[in-house]
Amino acid sequence: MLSTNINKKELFVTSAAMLACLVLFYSFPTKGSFQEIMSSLTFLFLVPILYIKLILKKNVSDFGLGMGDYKKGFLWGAISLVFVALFILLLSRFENVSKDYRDLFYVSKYFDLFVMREISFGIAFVLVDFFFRGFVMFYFQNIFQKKYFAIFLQFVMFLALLLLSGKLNWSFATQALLSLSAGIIAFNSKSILYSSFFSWISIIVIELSIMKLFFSN
Amino acid sequence: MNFYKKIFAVVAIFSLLNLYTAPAAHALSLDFGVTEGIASAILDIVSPGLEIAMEELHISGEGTEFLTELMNVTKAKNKDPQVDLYFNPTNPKVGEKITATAYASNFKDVTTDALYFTWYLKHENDADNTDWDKDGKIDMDDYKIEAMRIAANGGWSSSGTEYNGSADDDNDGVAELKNEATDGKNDKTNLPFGGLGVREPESGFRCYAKDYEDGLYYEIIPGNVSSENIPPESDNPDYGERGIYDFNVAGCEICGEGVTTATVKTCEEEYTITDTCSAMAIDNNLLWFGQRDTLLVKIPLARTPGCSVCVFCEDDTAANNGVCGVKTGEQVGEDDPGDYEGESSICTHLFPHAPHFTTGDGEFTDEEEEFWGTNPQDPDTNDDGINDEASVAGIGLDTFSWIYNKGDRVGLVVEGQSTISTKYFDGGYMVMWALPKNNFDVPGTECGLKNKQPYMVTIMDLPVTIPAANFDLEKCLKYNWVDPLDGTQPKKLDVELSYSPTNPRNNSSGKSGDLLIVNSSLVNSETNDNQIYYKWTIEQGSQLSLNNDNWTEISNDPAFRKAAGITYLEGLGLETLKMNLNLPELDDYLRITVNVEEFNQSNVAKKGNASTIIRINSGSNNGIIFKSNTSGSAICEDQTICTALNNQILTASLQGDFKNFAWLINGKAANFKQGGQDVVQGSKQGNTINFPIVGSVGDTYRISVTANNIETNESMTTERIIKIINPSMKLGVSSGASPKFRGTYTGLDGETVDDVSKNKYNSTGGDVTVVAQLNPSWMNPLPKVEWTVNGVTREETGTSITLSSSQYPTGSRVQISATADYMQSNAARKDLRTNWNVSQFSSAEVTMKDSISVTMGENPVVSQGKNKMLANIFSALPGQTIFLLRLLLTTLMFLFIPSLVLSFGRPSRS
Repeated sequence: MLSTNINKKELFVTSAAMLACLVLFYSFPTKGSFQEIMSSLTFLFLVPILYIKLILKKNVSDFGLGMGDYKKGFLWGAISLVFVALFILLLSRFENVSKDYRDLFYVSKYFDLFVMREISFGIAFVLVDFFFRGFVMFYFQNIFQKKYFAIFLQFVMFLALLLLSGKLNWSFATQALLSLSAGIIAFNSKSILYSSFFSWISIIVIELSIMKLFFSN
Repeated sequence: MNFYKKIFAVVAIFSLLNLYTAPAAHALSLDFGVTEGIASAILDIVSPGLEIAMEELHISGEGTEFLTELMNVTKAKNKDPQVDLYFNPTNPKVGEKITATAYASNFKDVTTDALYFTWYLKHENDADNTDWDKDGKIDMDDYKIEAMRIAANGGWSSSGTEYNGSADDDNDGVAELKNEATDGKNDKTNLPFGGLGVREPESGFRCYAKDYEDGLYYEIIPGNVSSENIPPESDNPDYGERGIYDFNVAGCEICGEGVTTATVKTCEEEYTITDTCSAMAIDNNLLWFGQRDTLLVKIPLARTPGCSVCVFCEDDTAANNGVCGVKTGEQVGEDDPGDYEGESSICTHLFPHAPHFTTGDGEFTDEEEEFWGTNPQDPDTNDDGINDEASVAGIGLDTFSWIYNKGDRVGLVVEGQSTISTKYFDGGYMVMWALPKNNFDVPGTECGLKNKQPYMVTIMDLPVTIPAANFDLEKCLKYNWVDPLDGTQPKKLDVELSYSPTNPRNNSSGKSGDLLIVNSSLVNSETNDNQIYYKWTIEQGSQLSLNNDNWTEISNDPAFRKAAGITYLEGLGLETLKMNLNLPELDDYLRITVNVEEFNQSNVAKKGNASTIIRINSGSNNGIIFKSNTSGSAICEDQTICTALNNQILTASLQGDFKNFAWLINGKAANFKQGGQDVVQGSKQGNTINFPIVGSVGDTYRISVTANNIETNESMTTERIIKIINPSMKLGVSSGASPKFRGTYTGLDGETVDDVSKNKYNSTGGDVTVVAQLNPSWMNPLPKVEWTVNGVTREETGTSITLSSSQYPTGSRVQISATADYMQSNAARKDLRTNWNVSQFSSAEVTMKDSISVTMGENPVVSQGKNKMLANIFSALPGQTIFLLRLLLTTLMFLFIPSLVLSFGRPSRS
């Protein structure tokens, strides 16, 4: 399952560092939105980058922070949008979806709030994408014999984080889907730019659909 | 001489007894006339000696006369059969099973198996009644069948049961008589009259009914008595002569123009004829025509001697004063001839029969069982020990249960042998019936004894006259319905009111007044509170008065209700009334009235009400003043709950002119030594009491006192609460600074409330005066306050200090803190130890401290509007900086540790 020429000590330390990042991201004491943003930025972005540069001594472009293959990026992005459409179709069958998106009800009344929300989602996606797809997936794709295992590994890690936060609802399902599709896009395009972009587009489309389906008068 | 006197006395006594017991003898079947004649003869002979005999034998004439007078009327005073009905439950609900139990009395044999109980049941709703006999109408027969079916089958379900026509596999018929008994309706019944097991007397069954007016028992006979059996008139002065008489009413223009009404009055009935000249009215007693001047009246056999028949005209002038008198008219015809000669009287069982069947014929086939809903395979479907046909006949059926519906009525007629024997010389007793309401005669209806006429028979060779009449008991059943709810439902609800606190107090300042709670409880309610409607009324008065004029309703004022916090005054389940006594004006007394109404399934409303008058105290202190041992003046005067410090000795005094004091502390009599203060009480409690406050913070003391008013002797009870608190100190700014503004709360209707800091102030310019507010404010001795400004101790020791703004740079923050120790004086502590056993270690000092900060100079950037985020950042800069520092350190450590780990085992560079 694992490649033969791996540095096991490095693997162990890096895995521990990844878990430590997640734990610190989840539990670092913060008070107020400023501190929460700083904490997220630090443990999901800064610390991984510094770790890559200083500890692993590798190029950050090897971890998705590059242009990659734009053709594959857009192709897989488009394919992911098809799955998003199917997901929206699935959501429309359930009446109780709206209760997991109550904040959308208020946002649906004010366009500027909606724009602010989606912009903040975009920024958040970059951070999350970089950690799970960039740091975790691109590291482990060099560890596994079958590289695509890394897609599922980051997916499972993301799911675990969601479970820990206790968010077992339709929002959870949305993020899980996006996590998997982003992993596939990033894996094939070798860049998190496309995965982040299409995740962002997907979440906009999904939330617009929910607002249309459940909160439009 | 004495011997002859005694013989003479015996004969005289015998004669006397015979004379005075003649009426009794008559009742004992001896002919009245014969006995009376003999007695009269004897009396004439023996009366002289009678007086001697009575004297010899000490017989009182008055006493004997009393006894014989009683015996004269004995024949009308027999105990007649009775039946009483009891229901369980007494107040049934719709759909609930109800059981009627009959208690029969004054029958010869009251064991229930010997009597016939015929029940009948009627439902209020016509659709619930069934035409069981399929005769096209729902009548008494159907009501009987309805009840006896339920009784016979006992609720057994016949669904799915196969009935085999004429078979009688369970052999549950009942019949006793070998010969068919006389039965006015159905002559196939083989059940004896008067009860199961009754043997038919030689003279036949004799059935009787009693006239409750004259007290006589009339044998029920068919039609008229044969002329041969009519007693002679001379022997019957009570009866008039029968016949048809023509009353010439000339001058009384009956049926003429202008006069349209005439009255025919007999001893029994009064009839009014109107201008129905062509009409002919026929009844049992009168047959009369209304013609122009002729009125034919059939004279009944009237009972009262001298009964006359009168005809009165409407314009009853002296000239037309009526034509009165028996036989005044000319007899024009004979009455209808009768044929009754004294054979068996008309006796009729009243139990029902299935169509085309007879109950009590000994055969109870499946077809009949199917009609009654009984089990063809079980001889006793209802398991009461009596077989099915006997159950239908009502033998021993003294209880009847059914599922009650609103408006149900039930009836019962009990047939049995009475305790009254007949006049016939055999073992026969009068067969009679008992009805719950004893309505055997309803004027103007077919229910009653008709055509009363005696007949004469020869018994023991003597002519005996027996009163008789026509009577159909069936006609009386509908006048004897019993409603299970009659007299069982109390219409009135018993309501009781209670309230708390017992001495409510109103605080006119608008706060801290008592919450008056008035509770109502219902004693005889049958439903839960949510089905009871309450309506409360509140009135106020200046004096305790029962005169309604002295009370003014205030609950109808919306302003009052709002001030008192009353939302609703009436509604379902509103058993409690609460009102805040924070009213600016309130009289000394409140009268609280509650009206309640309960509806049950019978739709009978039960109502009730109750009132209570409550004395309202005003002011904060309820008449009790507190002073502390360390303070000479009254403390917590404006406080509803007085706050006091631990280990304090308080003095409670009752204001006003009172005597006979009884103080209680937490419900216990305060009969301890009044230590500490020198209060002369003598051998009883006075209007003042000393007591220590010892406990933990939060503990309460309830001080109450009962006393009598000196002038009116009226008893009064009042109380106050004391709560133990810790001494505390709170710093504030009295001038030169204002609390720091943090934001604004916006309510739902747009009102805004500023959120200000409690310990951060901003200088507004000029000197800043900081004060220390002590709680309780009457703290004595006043503790010395140690002030510290920016860590530097100040010299001031009072409860306030002043900071000069010129001494501090603009924008700088000045930290001010204060510390004070509170402790009672040594004398007070010694008193506590000596007189109240409070250790000095318990009364040691308590430290109080507080701190605030004041930002000097101009206000910094106010966090309003767009600069809110910047203001937040800058105002909280130290906190954010520390956070960032923490984040940095974590990151560095995060990178350092893996680097260190990975460096181990790495080959060194040469």
